[in-house]
Amino acid sequence: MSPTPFELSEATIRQVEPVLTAFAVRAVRHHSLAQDLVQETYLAAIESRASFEGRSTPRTWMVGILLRKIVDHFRRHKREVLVDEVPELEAPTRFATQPYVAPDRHLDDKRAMAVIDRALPELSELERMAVLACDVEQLDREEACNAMGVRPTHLRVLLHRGRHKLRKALEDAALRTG
Amino acid sequence: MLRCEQVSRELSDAVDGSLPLHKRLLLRLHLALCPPCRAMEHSLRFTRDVLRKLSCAPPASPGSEAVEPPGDR
Repeated sequence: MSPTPFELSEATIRQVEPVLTAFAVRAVRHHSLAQDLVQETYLAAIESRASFEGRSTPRTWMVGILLRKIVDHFRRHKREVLVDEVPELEAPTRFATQPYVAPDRHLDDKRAMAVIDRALPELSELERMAVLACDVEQLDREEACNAMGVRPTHLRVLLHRGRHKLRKALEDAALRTG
Repeated sequence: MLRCEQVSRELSDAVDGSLPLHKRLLLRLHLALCPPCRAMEHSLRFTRDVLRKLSCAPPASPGSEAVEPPGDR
């Protein structure tokens, strides 16, 4: 069966616009730049629509395109050395040094999301993109690796570090609240 | 028996469900005996759940410390 051809219809834009915009703003931390990158994503999607194979949803496919655009932007501006080096995988050091308050008992969804939004800029750009791609948009790891130009071992480290930083932010917020 | 430092490294894969069976069993054993690591797993799963809810949620509003205002590139 041949794949459904990709069409950037109004309905598709209505569906993906908030997703792409939220992703880009969280990734680059700047509204107008984020909007430019989303526009570039639309253009790239139209230009390369023949390559849409229907294995993922249009939304997932376009998030992948956007992720590539963001990585290209960071590379052009040398915001971070985006090379495929595997940083050391360190262990968090909370053990037995701090009281534990379960974040889900003290933070409702709205507050927890606000804590995450405040903590995301503390992550490196690569850690942030890894978390946004794999956890927020739930791209599979192969897709995320291809878009980010990193190896699976590197992505694993980025996810480990990013997730634990965000976990720590939630635990700290719960501790302040509880 | 896994050490706590090793557990923290495996937990990220564990919440993805991508750990092989033997590692999963070792992890389960450690978590059953270690309350701090169990708490960490609990928080990490909550973190993942919150992240999944972010997809369609607009980022922290402009004017907060989280995002630069429009037109300020």
